[in-house]
Amino acid sequence: MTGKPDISDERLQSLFDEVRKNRPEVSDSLYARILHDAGVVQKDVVPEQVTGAPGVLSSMLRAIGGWGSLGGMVAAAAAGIWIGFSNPTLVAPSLESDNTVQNSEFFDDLASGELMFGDSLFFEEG
Amino acid sequence: MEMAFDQMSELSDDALLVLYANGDPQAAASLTARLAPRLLSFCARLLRDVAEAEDVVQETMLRLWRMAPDWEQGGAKVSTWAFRVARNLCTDRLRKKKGVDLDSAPEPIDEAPGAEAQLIASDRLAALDWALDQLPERQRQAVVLRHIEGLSNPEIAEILDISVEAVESLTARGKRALAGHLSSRKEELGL
Repeated sequence: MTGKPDISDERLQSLFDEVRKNRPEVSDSLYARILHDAGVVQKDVVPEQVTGAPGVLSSMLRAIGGWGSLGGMVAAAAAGIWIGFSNPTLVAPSLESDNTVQNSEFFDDLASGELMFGDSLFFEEG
Repeated sequence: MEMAFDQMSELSDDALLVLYANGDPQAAASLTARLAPRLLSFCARLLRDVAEAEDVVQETMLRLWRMAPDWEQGGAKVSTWAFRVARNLCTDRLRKKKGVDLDSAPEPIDEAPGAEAQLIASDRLAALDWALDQLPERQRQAVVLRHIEGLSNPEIAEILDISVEAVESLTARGKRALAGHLSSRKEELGL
């Protein structure tokens, strides 16, 4: 190995080119191993994102304060509906005194559709 | 944020790593498709054992996934970082195998090609592998990175942790030595 080697740069370069064309291919099993590792590490690093972005319903639930708040809102809504549909004597028994006759006429008119919203204001103010 | 696989082909390695750290399931596949073939080629050339090279590539990629949340964009290139890790892992394995400090080992004298080289189908490629094996460790790594993997001198300098001038010197001496080793078998190989 003394003196000037008689393999030219061009010949050496063509050998390098040949090597590049004969690179080992990445096997499916190696890809699978690498991506398995990636998934495991990703779960550790970013657990929230990996489990998926929160949906619209879960975002709304979080915005109103969770399941406890939602239960309170449902109870309040149910109470409102009950008040709306109940017999007024049950809702406000104190009205059952001197105005019993007037009240019963008012509710009769309301039931028959003869009384409009403005009439009730007139009725209250006398 | 989740992107389609084909959209990712336009992104830099840096951006893919950030996407991975943000939970994108496709980013890892894209980065693996880019890096694994080059790393495997490099490691197989150094270790002369594809199964062992595969283990090193897997370990390199695992380290990449682990450091993804701390990756600083605009710093080192992801590929350079990965080659550096792979090179260190290969060096460790070779040292364990041979039980000597390869950097301080004397340059070997011409020997017959090893059994592994004889198993490779092409005589010329086997001869090149054999000739590469005759080079000191750093020369071999520099020649493989420059002339087979096609990396730039600054990238190789970063991977080998030496100056660009040292890379130029290593690759020049490596190529000269390679040509010398191959010259001794020129007739036999029809070069």
